[in-house]
Amino acid sequence: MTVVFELFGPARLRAGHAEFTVPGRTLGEALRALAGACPSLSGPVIQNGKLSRHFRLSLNGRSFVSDPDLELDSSDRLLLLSAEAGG
Amino acid sequence: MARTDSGGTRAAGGYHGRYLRVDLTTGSATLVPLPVEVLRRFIGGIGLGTWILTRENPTGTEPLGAAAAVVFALSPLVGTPLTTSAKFAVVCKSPLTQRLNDALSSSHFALAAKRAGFDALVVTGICARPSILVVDGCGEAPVIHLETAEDLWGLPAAGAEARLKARLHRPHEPGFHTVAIGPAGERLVRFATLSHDGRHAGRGGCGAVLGAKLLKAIAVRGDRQVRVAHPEKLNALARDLSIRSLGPATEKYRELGTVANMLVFNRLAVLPTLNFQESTFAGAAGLSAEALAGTRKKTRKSCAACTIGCEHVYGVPGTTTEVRLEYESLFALGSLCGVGDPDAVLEAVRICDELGLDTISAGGTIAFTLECIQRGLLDPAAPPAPADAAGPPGPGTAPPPGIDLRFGNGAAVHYLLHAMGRRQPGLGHLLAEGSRRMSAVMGGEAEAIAPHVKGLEIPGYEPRALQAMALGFAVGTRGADHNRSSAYEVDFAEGSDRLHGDAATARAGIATEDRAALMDSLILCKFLRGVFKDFHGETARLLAAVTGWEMTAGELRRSARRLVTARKWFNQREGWTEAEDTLPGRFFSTPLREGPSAGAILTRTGLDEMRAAYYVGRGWNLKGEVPATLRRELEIE
Repeated sequence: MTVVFELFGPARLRAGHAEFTVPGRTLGEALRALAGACPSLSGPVIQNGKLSRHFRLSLNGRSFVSDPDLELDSSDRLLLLSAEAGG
Repeated sequence: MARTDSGGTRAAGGYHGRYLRVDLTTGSATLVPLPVEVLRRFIGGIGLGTWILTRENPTGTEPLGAAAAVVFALSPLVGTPLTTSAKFAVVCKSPLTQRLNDALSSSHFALAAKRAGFDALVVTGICARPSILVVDGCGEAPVIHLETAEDLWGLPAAGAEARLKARLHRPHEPGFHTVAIGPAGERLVRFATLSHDGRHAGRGGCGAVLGAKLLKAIAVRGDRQVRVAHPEKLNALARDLSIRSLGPATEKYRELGTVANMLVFNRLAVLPTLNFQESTFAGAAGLSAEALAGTRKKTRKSCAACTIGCEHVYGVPGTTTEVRLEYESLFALGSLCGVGDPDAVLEAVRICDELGLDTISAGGTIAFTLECIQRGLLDPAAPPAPADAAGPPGPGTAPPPGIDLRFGNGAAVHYLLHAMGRRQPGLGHLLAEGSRRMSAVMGGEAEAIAPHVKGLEIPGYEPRALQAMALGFAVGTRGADHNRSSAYEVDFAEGSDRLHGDAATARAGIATEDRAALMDSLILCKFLRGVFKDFHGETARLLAAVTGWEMTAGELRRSARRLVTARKWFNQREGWTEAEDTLPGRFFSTPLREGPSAGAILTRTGLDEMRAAYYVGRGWNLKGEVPATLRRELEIE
């Protein structure tokens, strides 16, 4: 099963791409796969399958999630955002 | 020339223990002692400014009258090596909302004022003719005098500042730093800004308050060092904070600036568009930071004493013009008005800078105007006259637009900005009053779509789909305001349902508002938020190193409650009622239609639930009033 990550802001700048499709049944698996597909995210953004506190993940644009055991659906889109929403 | 005595109390480190009161009517100045217990309770910035304003601005004072006071409040951290600490707050009663207004700005003016030897500058009275207030703090005690501004009247703030600094320049002496108003402030546009070095104290119309006093600018200099209680400890803390400020917590602001919000908010369908009729914008990608950076020259700038450098200044292709761009300006003059041409938006921001207009209120008022025209509620050729306008219309007659006043037309936005900023007769005179007063004149349907709370136009966060923000807007003391509530942090937090606010949302919103009140009183830039792991503990240590007080996280938490309630108490004295703590009717009647926010709507019962929980959480009564017992408990008076 694959899920899509949409990258915004600093994550997109680091990755150099706006979107990645990676395998993963759970959020933790998907994050590890994303870090593998895009090494520049490994460390500052994704650490040991978990998201850095400076970033947020929105599941399909509705709720914000971080539980690595969260089971994903193949239609899910994960929006990787800066934790800073201030403007 | 008026001299002051050198009086004042010996205060804690970081303070001078006095404020300077200037009466423009008499040209006199007085140094007023600030009790150390007041400084400890209200800290500085918006907190100290509120305390002083509550005393200097008698209840019921007309904001544009001679008796009105405007407070420039500094903080104990100004002048220290702490990153982002070169800031000042401008606190006054707003001519737009008739409620408390506190606007922040940054940089060398704050440093110069602190060196002049006071913790705040209070300006009252009215000049006999357009004038400059010069405050010379070099020497034993500050000396003030008024100079003519006849040659500067009508200039943009930036031009006036440049000329004034050249005029006051003395070789081998400390230089003056200035704040100034633009043509909109002179014309008493109710949302005119006050600016310093291109940065605006933007919201609530403090520029009009100075304009009503015929005060074009203030120049200040000084040569006093700020005494710090524990310099070595402070230097170590400052170094550590600076290093951390260069890390991932501020990466968004450093690399992209606040403009980075454009794509994110569009994707989440929380981007106010077409006067809040929609929450996504087809032109968002073209206005994004990523697109702008790819097509034009961009430079990055910082305020004085800042290591973050969040200011992204864009060049306009084919010109030498440079425009400092923030998300709020981009949304208000872009998606809110349906304008997707980045050059048109940059030009609109440049016009606002030139005239001295708050971009959020200007964009909100124009978007409202365009929708009223679209719906046939307003005939632009025969607009109604405003009731109780702040000032007379400008001279002559307004040129006919000669363009289509519709959403999406950048030229229409430019025309309306010039018209409102100069109070041109007719439409400009009406728009200069802001969307609330416009809607009151038009009545009926217009009132439900006027995008304001308490008269202050709503910033770039769709309240139906960000319901913690909706509450923050509703209860905000200065009106619809994102900076004082910071409630978007709740909407963007795990476990929060941004489409359905409840009592827990309100309690979380109190925490973000409290933290914002502390940051705005200390004053530190909010973009440092993510740098702190233990905000109250760390800032208590910073304050202790500067002042010498044994400060704890618990004391700062209590201070935050005091600061928020003191601001509310000011409003309550001015006639605030519970009915003001709401949002325009549109948000309760029309659900959003698109994307992840489809179906989102506010309900009266939902907002009532959040509001009641907020009032209770603040210790106010169920009508939102501040009880006398709480005022005593928090030592507000």
